[in-house]
Amino acid sequence: MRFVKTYWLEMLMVLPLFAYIIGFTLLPILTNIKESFIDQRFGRRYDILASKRADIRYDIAHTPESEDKRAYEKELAETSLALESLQHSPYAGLSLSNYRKLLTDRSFLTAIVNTLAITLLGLALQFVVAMSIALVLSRPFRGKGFFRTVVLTPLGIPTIVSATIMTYIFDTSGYLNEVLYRLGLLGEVPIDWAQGGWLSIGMVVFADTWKVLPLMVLLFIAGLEAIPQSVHEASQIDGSPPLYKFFTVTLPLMKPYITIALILRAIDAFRIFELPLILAGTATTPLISTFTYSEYTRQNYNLSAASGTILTGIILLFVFTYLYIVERDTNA
Amino acid sequence: MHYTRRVTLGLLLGSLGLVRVSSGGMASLSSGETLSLSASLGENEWKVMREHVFPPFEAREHCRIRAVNIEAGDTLKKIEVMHRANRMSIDLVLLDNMNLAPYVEKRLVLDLTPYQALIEPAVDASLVQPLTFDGRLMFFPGRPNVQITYYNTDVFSGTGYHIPETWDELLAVAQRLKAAYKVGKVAVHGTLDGSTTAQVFEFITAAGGKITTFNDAGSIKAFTFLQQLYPYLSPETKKANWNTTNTFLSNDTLFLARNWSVGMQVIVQQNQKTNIQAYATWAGPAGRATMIGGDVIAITKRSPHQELALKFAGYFMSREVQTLLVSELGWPPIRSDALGSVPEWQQGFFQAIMEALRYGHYRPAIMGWSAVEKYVNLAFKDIVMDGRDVQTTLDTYARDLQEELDWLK
Amino acid sequence: MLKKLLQPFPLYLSLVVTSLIILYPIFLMVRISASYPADIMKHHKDVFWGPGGITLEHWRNIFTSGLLLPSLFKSLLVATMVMLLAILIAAPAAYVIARVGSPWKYLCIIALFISRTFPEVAIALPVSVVFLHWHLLDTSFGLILAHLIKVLPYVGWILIGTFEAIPLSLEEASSVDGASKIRTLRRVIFPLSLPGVAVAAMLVWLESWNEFTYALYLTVSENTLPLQTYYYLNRGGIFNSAAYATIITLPVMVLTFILQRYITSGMLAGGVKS
Repeated sequence: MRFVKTYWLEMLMVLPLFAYIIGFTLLPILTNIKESFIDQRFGRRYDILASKRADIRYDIAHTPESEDKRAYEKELAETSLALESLQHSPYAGLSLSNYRKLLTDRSFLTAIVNTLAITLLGLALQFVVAMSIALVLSRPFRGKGFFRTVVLTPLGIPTIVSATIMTYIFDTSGYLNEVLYRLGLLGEVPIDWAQGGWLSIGMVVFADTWKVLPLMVLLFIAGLEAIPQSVHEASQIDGSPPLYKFFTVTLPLMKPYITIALILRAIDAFRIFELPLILAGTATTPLISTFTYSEYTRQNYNLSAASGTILTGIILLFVFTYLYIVERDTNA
Repeated sequence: MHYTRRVTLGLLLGSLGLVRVSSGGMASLSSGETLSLSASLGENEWKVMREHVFPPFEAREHCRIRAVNIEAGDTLKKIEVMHRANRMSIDLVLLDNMNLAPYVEKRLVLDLTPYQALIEPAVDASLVQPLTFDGRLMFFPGRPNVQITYYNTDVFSGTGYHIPETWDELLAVAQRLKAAYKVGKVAVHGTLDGSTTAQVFEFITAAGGKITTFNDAGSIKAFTFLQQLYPYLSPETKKANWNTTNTFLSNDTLFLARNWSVGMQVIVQQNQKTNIQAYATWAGPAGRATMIGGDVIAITKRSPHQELALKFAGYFMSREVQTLLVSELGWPPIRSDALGSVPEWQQGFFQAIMEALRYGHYRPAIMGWSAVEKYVNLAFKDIVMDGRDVQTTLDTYARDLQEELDWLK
Repeated sequence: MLKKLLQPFPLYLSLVVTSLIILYPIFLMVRISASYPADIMKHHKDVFWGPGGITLEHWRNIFTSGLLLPSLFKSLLVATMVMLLAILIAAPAAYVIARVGSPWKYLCIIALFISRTFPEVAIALPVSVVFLHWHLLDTSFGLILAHLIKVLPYVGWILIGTFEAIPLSLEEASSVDGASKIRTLRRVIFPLSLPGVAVAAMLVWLESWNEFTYALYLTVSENTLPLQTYYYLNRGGIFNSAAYATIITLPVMVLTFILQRYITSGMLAGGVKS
């Protein structure tokens, strides 16, 4: 109790944040996970019957005394009976059927592959480009300020806007095909970027990279700036080639920043939603997040919950695997 | 010190005040009631509603109309959500007729049987019949809608290419266009959602099949034909739906495609194309068939303004409004005495629409329509796009569909 | 080390090409919003500009449609409220976490971090059900709460870094002087943390202004700007959506331009040190 007395202010300060996170993130996730273990067919039917019953009760309660309620009561009895028999059907209770269904669905499996491909490819591309730009921006040169502003511009573009613009560019009769045509790289047959497969993955990766680059560049610049000047001077006296120095000195020193950048990016990349929804459509290039959304729109809430849970699992798996590998290297 | 304290206090109070404002609803601006209605309309359609349709009603009934746009695919969810929370903020819905059964089953709409008299004799009876469920009238007719075949008049000038009137001609035209332009110039809606289902429905019905049976002779013929046709279609078929088709027609990616009547507004008025026209449709083995879509009028069960909503429904079905809808938007009327004059640029389209309506069929209004849609789209992907065997795929999905439909009974 | 890379010509060439790639899409958006339909609705597009020139017709259309101002106002209201509430909730907590001892701090950061890993699409559904029960669906207040879900971990993360940067010695000096905890907070911590808090606030505002997913799930009638853009996009209103996109982007670009001078990359690294 003395603890509370001394630290009452601190506890008060921390409370809102954690209450919010527990209430609005943890609880919904747990609800979601619970929903995912209810067979979709059962869930749908139960939903229809339960809301029907509640509705009939409401109607009965609000019908004036004078009117005939027998029709309602008959309906109520029927519905209650149906609910009873549903509870005793083989599909009641917790089941793995949703997961089984998802993992045998060709479209969902493609979605998993697409999500992994987009994330990993995207990470690689963003790492290379962001690092290069950060290196360039870490040394003074004329026009550096202007270039830095240019690089940071996409940070400000809302995702829906960038998705909109990218559709103009990647349409079959869009601007990218036009540029390629004018450069003579394309004949009369335009490239169909949204056909699925690697082309669409590449399209989504490019569009996402465009938007996300500024943040990574900033993180890497922070990392580069954190390297003390003395290290640079020492390595210069050394006389070894620049690339060697980069890999043996700079990169290891930037490790914490790289880790953070990659993990933060990976989390967002796995969850990418608006961009593929608008750019690629759910038909040819499904991703786990768009798959979750389409099941939601078809009112398959349990299937949608299962799909969302699988995505969460993949993300957590990736993060912990990466951290484990990275930590192992440090301790070795 | 006092300054910062005052500033923080002021900020807190100010934010509380803003919170109050944001959680309150919209204040009623007039002394009368406010009728809230929702529909899924394009910008120019809303303009006509706000400028021509709503004001006379507002004046007559001393009320205000609050109109909200809810896309067709979202309406069921949102109405259901409001109904369950007992916070119904929509009184009347101009509802897309693509999936009416859930509204009835989930008890979301008012039983309109006692108000049948609101439907005047001049209203086409065939439009009312599909709106009865279990002998009860659950919806009023609003406006029928149908797809027409748009074509590029520069290409289909009659000298080089003729507009196809049968399936065989359609296949031939698609082949010739692909050979000439190296890429397909004809498309069907291939986005594997409601748009695809609607067009597949038309093909199946034109071959004498029933979409809910799924593997009858007509359906097999339809899917076989589509499988044959697909390689000669434009790659944009995958992205072609009721919306993007208009863009593709406008920028010459497509020369021939079916789409809803709203296309004429987007293509001709918004995009200012003068070389696009339309005709009704082509004929399959069992004749011409189109699908009747459009909107019906539904009144929500827990609406707080039921009487006003009913009055508006009657108003919407009246001769004055229907005539207005014809002349301003080119919408086909629900009654025989509402023949307004359509502006000249619209006349060709309007004729095509009226003719297409003559061959119209309704989707079956069953609870499991979303399941039917799912399997139709799966079949389309497997058979038409991926080239799998027609018979076996259809048989498998017919079985799965039956199982799901049984669950939903 | 980079001297070779910094040879003027290849360096500047690659900078120019990169800048073009980065800026072209934005240019395209603004251009489409002010172009004649005939210029855009062509099979072979003009890469830079077409013969038609500029028209302000689309802009006139969206201003007179009556839909722009309500969604603009809603987006503005929600973003500002989210910013205020996020700082109010996250800043005090971040301060405590930054000062707390090792195992707890690590745990808290992990907790904040994990809450960010869940896909919004998965959370939005149960959240909308809860909001339904609380009668918050389709209200601005509900949307504000939903945006906070998304934004709080992010803000907490940045602010922890900000408070960590304030040396403990200052606080100790203040308490040696006899000031109470609250006094120290007000006179020492508060002013020093202002730059970091300001940057976090602006980032939150931007995040909320652009937000789409929760709005998609939780709105029935009053659209936010991104939702309105999506509506036009879904209906083939290329010109309208381009104009709306430009409107959404303008304040964002202005804020980013101001921000980029103050974002010290150290802020984003947040709890990296731990």
